[in-house]
Amino acid sequence: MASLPHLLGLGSLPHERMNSLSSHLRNWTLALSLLIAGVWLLRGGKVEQAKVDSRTEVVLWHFWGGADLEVVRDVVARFNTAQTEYRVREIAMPGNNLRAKLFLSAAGGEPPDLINIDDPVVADWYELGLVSSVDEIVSAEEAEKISEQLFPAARQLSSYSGKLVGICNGLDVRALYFNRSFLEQQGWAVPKTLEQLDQLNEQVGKLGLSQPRFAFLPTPRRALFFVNLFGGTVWDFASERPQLDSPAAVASLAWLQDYSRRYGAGDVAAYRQSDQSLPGKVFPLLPQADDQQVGRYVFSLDGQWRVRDLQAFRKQRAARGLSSPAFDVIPLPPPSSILANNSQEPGGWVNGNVFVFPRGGRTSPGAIAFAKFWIGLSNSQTAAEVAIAGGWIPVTPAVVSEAKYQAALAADPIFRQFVQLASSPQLQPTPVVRGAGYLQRLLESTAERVASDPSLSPEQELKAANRQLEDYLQSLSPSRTSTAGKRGGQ
Amino acid sequence: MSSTGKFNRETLAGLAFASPWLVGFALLFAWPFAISLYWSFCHFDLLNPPQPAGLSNYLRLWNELRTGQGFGLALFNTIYTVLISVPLSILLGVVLATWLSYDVPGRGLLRSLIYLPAMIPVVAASVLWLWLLNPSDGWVNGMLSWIGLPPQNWLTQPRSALSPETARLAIQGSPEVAKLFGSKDGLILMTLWGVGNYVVIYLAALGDVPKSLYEAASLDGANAWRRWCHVTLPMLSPVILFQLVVGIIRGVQTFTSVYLLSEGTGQPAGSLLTVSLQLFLAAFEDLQVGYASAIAWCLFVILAGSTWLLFRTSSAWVHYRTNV
Repeated sequence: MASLPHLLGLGSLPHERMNSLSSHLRNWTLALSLLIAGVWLLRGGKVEQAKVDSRTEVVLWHFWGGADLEVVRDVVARFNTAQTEYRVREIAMPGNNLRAKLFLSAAGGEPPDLINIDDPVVADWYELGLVSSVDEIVSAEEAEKISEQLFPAARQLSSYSGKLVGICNGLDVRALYFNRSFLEQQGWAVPKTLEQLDQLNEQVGKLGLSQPRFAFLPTPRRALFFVNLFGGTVWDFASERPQLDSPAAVASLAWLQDYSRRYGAGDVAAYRQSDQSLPGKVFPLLPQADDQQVGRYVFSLDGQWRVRDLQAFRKQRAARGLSSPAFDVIPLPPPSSILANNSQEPGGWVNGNVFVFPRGGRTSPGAIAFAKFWIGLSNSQTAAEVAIAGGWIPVTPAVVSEAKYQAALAADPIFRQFVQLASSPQLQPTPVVRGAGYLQRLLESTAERVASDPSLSPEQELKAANRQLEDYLQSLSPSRTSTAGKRGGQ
Repeated sequence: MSSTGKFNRETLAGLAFASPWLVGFALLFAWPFAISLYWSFCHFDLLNPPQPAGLSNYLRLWNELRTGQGFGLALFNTIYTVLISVPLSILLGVVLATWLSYDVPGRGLLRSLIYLPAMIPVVAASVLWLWLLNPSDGWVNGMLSWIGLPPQNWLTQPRSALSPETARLAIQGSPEVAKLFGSKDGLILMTLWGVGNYVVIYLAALGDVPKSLYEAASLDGANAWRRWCHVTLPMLSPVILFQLVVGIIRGVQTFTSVYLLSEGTGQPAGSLLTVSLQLFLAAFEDLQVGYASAIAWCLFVILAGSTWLLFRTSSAWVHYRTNV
């Protein structure tokens, strides 16, 4: 039988060459061993590194980038300057990576101390034992005090099963931006009901323009917003059961479907998809060319971050000596039937960023201290300055009341509308329940299917989706349910 | 030294040399493969120990298959794309390879151009195709308009070309039927772009076909078409079988492009929710690793079954050359 050196083709090499090869192999093995040892030592040295400046390090994971990242670094710098006990180290990661890395770090026993999320996963993560409730870190009184100071929407986003399971640090509010100049030029009134808004689509259609072809196009991805607008919800908190097939949900999907019926499902989808192809995904409400005074739509449902886009647009136009159309914002008007029965502000959907506190973090009290600093519970003036710089909506009335913040709002009436909306109890987040992410995906998918096929019955589709959600909820592990019961009773 | 002792020593040395691979195989393949079977009978959320759950994950899969939701929808979407894209890729690959096997002008350049897309990373290719398939200013619709065909809603329309809904619209004479192609068709088009991989293998196989067979066929009076049907195709059939098996496995496992084209959700309306994406969402979005493992095992059984079926039927259509 041939020996291994022969098999490897080395057998025919002279002895000197073999020795030289062996020597190389030894050197490489030694170098590799040194490298592994070095990496191992570096890993071991990490714990010491955390105490370099005698303060305890708080590790924050977040997904912010671009202009927001600068503001986040500013908050961290301000906190670190003000602190003698803790020092925050922020780590930015893309959204998709952040979640997978969190699971792996938690499974490995070394999660961050603080993490920022904007997906409806707080309840699931709490049930999994991945994150702590605030009253597990600070006293129940202090947790209650934090909760009381939040806007209703921020409190809802942070609470599950009667406990504060995170701290909301910013609200994302959607409202209806519109091109006021274009409306005035056409002699059209600002719509007060959803029917009037729909009617404006017909009027824009009669103009026969290639752009805008539609005054407004609702997207199925905001299905939850529309359910709330139609005066309903997708979760019954009394029975703790989903109700994706509630009358409001059926009515809202029928309204979405009506767009496809009137204008053609394919045309509506194609027009909407083309918004994404605008250079740099610019705000489709903005005119694209210098000689235009209107963009792809007259109305657009979007968040407060678009205020920055409007400001930049005005500035760019002014720099070129061009006039800019006037823009304004209103809450998305509800259907007339809802308006007649309800004298309150219209409903809608609100989202936000929430700080959560992974179990096993080295310094959860430090993480809470930073969260309180961020939202202005320890210094509302600093929080106001940061919120102005970031164009963020604060989560506490105290920060909104700050003189600097009020001055900023006075200078920007559009942004002021968003801040006023943020305090509305009519705004509902995605229900903070187990399976909320699945619920949201399922509702959006159903809305998209119904909107793309006018022959489908919204009621039947929603009933099927509700059954699917029920099955999903039943499939959740019993151990998690029993854990939930235990935690709820704590 | 006895031959047995030498054999043992050499075997040990051989195993030692192979140990990096063996350890990798055991830890990264065999162990996950085995443990995932156990997890498929458990509730497991990655963070807490798995809890035995009997057949509940499989019953859920069965229920979803029955109702056409979740796994049922994902399986339908996967089968649709694989059943169309794999045969089309093979057909296009064989045709292109046959063409390039002739002495056409610029053959080297054409071969490079056809293979070039296969070298582009799938992420870059997906982003490119997102733009190419844009309904308003994408090049694909631009070309369709140029030859007088209506633009298509490639990645925005859940309805696909070969679907009962399209058939219903066609029977009703609805103008909507002009928008024939949907998101799955867009994905298939993108898959065909990477046909260069197939072409290279077919070209190699074509070069291996003995000239004497063509000469014998010519002497028997066979024209070019008959030579292609009765010589080239049978001689390519082992490679076609290989491409069919590999193509089905790759097609079922397609993830990156689907994830990017559907923004990680399987949208529009779940029409791009493939089995691999459903598995990913279950495991890493919903943290239902037990259910995801059950999906993986179903997928394994389906792939193993289809591969077995292909091999069983191959004796009827695959021609293996024998040396006489």
